[in-house]
Amino acid sequence: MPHRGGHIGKAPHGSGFVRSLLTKLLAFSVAVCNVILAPCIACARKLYRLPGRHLSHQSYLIAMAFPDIVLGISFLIVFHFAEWPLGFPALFMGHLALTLPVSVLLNTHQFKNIPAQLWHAAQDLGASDGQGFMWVMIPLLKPSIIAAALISWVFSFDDAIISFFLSSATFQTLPVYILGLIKSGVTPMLNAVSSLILCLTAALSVLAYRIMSKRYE
Amino acid sequence: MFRSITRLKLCCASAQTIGVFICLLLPLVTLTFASLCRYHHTQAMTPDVSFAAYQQLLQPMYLIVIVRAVGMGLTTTVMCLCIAYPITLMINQLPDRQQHFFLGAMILPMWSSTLVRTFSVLNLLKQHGLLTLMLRAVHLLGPHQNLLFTRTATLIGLVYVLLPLMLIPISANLRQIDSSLLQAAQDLGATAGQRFCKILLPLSLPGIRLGCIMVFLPAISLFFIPDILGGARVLLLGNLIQDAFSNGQWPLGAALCVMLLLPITFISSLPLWRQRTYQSADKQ
Repeated sequence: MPHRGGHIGKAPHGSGFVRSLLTKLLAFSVAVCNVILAPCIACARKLYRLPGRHLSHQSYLIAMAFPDIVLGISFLIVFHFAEWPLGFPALFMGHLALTLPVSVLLNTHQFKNIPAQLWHAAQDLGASDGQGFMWVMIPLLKPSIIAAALISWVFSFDDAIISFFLSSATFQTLPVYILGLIKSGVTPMLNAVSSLILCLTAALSVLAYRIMSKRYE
Repeated sequence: MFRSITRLKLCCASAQTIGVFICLLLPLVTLTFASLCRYHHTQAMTPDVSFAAYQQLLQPMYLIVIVRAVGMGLTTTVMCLCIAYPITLMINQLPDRQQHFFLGAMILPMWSSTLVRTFSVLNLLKQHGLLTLMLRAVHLLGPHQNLLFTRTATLIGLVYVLLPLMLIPISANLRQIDSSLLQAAQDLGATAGQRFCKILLPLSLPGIRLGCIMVFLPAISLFFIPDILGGARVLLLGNLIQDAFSNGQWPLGAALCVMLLLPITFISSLPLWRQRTYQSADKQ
């Protein structure tokens, strides 16, 4: 039993660890993309009632049920045929496909708590479409947007299966690195990293849950 | 003003299109295309229409693994259901504040990493792990028997990891049930058993169905749980797919994925139709 104690201080020096911290950047950009896309998609369905909204909603329900492995493999095939290198772009696309259904459904659900009159009232009072969206819809959708951002960050940060297929030798995410470590044997460092991840995601999840449950008050 | 309207609408429309494209169309189309390619040992796949991959799946070797994996998935689903349903029934009867606490506690583990949770199960099941020692103490496990790297270990891991996915839909569904129905039945003289079988169970069926779908699908595709806990003795569909891809037999793996996707697409569009008919019945 080598190096009892002090594992947490030791962890960042493991090879590949620093690089895999770049995952944070990946998860962050996935969250940002979710924040931009999901409210627009929800508005397309609920506000504008654009053609194809039922198909779109149905497809998110189906995509929610897709196992991660299927998403990982399909993007692997796409990048293989296009002869693009794997790594950040592939992971970004894969994680977007993983998280977008969840955040879209959250945002669409939030519309149930918003009276439709507010939007029409804003337009009657002379707000342009863009103003109505910025100053009426976005503030009303704020809880679900924040919750969706947190959830997509956590999902992207935690995902092991999609990342397993899409990471390259130079760009690896933390869970893929951990999976490799587990297979090569349990070390104290592994325990330390795992507990850190658990604490981080637990804190974020509690925060998101708080924000989402506020609207009931 | 007219210009800004079209611009925002255009943004929403394009977001909708991009979303459907990335989330649904791209995976479905590429997988179907890849599964129809031909396997060649020098190349991962050559574009060519052939059903060789599907024929390969019908070989007895693959059929046995598939049937076993489906059996494993079904066992996991049934066990999750048997554990989750009584728990949610109990939580449902608590006062509101405690309900919120327990619901939060149930949702919380779903958001933490599946991999990390599997790893924590590994710590419980290893040779001097807590669960192994407990089972040895009550003589369910012989002194030299190990829990790790068996089918049972994989099953424990799967049930543990997927339990929240069963708890959440069922509890959401139970909270929607109007409790006055149960009181009315009691007033009219129904016994506890009758109330459960004739009212509670039929009303909670949608939640049960959703929970079963949400547990069964990952239960046959989470490849790292048997890898870590089953010691490569147990194979799920996910392992087959992963093996096919690491051996370069991409069409075979893609065909397996398509086989996995067909029932998903079918099942997950099914409850929606049902829901719609209920809603239209309500309106009438």
